[in-house]
Amino acid sequence: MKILTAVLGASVIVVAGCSAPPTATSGTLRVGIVSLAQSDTLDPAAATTAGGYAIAAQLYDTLTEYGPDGKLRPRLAESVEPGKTADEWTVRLRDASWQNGDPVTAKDVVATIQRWFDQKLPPTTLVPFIDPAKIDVPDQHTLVFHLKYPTTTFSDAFTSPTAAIVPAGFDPKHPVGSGPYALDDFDPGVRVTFKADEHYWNGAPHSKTLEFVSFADGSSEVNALLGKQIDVASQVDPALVSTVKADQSLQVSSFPSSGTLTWVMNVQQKPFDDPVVRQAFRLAVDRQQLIDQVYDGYATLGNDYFSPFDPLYDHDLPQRTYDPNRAKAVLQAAGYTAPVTVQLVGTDNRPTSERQNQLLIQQAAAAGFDVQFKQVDQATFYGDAYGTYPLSLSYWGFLDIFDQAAETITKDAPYNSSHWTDPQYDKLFDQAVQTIDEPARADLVHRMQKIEYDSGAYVVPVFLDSVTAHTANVEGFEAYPNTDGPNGYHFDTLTDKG
Amino acid sequence: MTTREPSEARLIAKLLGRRLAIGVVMMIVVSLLVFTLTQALPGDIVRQVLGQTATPGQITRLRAELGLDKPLVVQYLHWLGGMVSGDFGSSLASHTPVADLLASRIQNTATLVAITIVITVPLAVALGVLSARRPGGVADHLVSASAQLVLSLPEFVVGIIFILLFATNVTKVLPPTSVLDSRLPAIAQPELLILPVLTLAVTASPYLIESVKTAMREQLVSEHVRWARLSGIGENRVIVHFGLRNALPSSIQVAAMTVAYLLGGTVAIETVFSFPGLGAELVDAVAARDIPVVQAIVMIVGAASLVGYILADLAVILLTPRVRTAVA
Repeated sequence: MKILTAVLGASVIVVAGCSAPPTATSGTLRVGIVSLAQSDTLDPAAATTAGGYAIAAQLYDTLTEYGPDGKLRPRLAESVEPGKTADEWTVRLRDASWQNGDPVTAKDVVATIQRWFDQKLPPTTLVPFIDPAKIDVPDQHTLVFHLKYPTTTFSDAFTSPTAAIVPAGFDPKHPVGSGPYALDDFDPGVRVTFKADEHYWNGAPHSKTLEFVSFADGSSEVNALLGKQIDVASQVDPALVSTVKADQSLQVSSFPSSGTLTWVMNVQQKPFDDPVVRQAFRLAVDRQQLIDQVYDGYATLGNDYFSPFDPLYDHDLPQRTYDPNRAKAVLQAAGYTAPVTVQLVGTDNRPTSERQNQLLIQQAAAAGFDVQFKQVDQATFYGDAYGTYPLSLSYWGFLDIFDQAAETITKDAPYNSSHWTDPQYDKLFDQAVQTIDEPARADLVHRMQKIEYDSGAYVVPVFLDSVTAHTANVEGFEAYPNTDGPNGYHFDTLTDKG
Repeated sequence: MTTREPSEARLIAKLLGRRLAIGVVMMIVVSLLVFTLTQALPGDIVRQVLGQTATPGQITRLRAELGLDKPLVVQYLHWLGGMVSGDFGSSLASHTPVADLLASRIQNTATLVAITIVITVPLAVALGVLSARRPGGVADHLVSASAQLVLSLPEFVVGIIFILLFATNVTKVLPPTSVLDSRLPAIAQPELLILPVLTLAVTASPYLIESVKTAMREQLVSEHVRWARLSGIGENRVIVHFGLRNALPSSIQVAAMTVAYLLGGTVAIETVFSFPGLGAELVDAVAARDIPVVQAIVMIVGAASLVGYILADLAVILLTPRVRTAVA
């Protein structure tokens, strides 16, 4: 086990002294969200919206989560450890209780997973390696999973808010979870009110009441903060930061995240069916200018592959930089006459999406590309034509390297809208997920990333900072680089001194 | 007199009946339009609900679950039949009955519009009369210039200007957004209503003021007003009894149009203030392709406007003997 602990690194995770500071619970923390929607659900397994994820993170616990350093840590689990091979995993639960006072048991975890498979809910795609019939429960706090095939991604798969653990006999209409806050009132698309669970295993939440308030857009949300109608404005557009900073009673907390708006080059469409054009296009993007002009500095450089906070991320590949002349030369050498026309489709999947696309048009023009941009609304973008755009801007991130690959890069990836495949890459992926020896695994992953870097179909130009604005009274913000939400959605540890 | 009144009442009933019949036909036309146009929206609710990470299997299952795999004619008849019996169907996004979902939104928007009308109509009549009294005078110029200014600005810009003036930049006396608490009636949260009402009132009143002014001007230069003045009747009495009384019928029709305009104006204004009403819900529902909700809101707004027009017609008939007898 000692060797395994050493070699598995991030995979073996054991709870590190759970400290619960006795903080007085008081007041109401009001958090702005852009935007809640009618489709926000109280069923974590069915959540697909930003609001649904934020709600799930209050009501429920996941077995594991990405902590303030971006690394995996246990949450409802006390430890998650592989057996001698990566096809057997043992999960030990901590002492926790449901919001109705009943204890959380291993049987509830089995019931949660059984529910995913019985009702064919989305989390089943996170854990294709689990056979729900092959989970042993040696005691109330222990589960032993016998997987269909070995994988080192077992503990990462449970970080998604959709994989939250619910009690046996769960009814989404009357949700009960083991999270820091219980549901008080639900007005879909407008407001969600929670009350603190004083008996939460990580200590009573610092605010007695938590409120999510929906705003139609980022400027309304910031207005509400200026008017002290809310205490925290989540996911603030960098363009609005100066407005916030002009008010002495407000502060901005930000941290780099693994979230990215990535350009997807469709290899089934012209001109990106030609790898040479893809290579030239990656030289046509001025990443630093994007950071300066679109993000006001609230972003970090990307290098065309994902998951910068994964311990296996290769930081040594040379940073790709803007080189319009070389891009032109590459195109010319391949027999293209400038400008090469590219159809780009975008939507407002992030507040900065349109600005990022607009700036690309200028940058790429100097590199011999004529980018013709069409902005559509989200329902159209993610509609039937999704996956047919020659070039599009997608929002991804907050996944480890293997999950990101399994979702968007490998041959079987369900959301690989670039349609790029590479047998060598797939082979390395299959090998890497089964490799327990960490140096060997890192080597395989670096080879995967080299392939993405050299000939992949994504332009990962920058990673976005998570920017939260709040009144100076609210304290306790930490960086959660692998979680899509302010303070990693951990509103229970924020203190409002006002 | 005893023989005339029942027949007059019967005439009015007949007229009203005809208006209602036309109204029903119009609602059916509206329903056809709404249904076909919402079907023509690009994009797909199923993908919206399931998100970027939907698999084809999940899409097919949800489509069947929502009845979206049936022929359009069947879907239309089913929808129309439901609506006649007061069943607006279920939201595709939240699976809750549309009626439950819209109940508090209808109350919020109705409160907003009602307060705005109560403020706007007397104000517009007063300003219209004031500027009609001395065409080209100071009051006339001031009112016209402000009306021109307001008319040149989109509603949301007026809303943003008021936010800057009263909530965020110049002064901070009012709340900048109006996310009502659904556990309380809208009227119990008056501070959240002030800016949306103000914006709606300011953007809607130019039309009403202009129509009162025009109608009053016509009256004030008419024969009977000149006769009244020559008879030595006081100017205020002339304006109220001889001017306004006769200018009112045409203004009532404009007022009815203003109600329809206000209902439309709520779309932009509710969005600016994040006000949870029908207008903001319509924007969200269109974005989410939540077709039953879109259809229900458009039908409700259409029906409300139609009722407004019919009531205005009725008021005009009752106020104008000429129209009453013309019917006969």
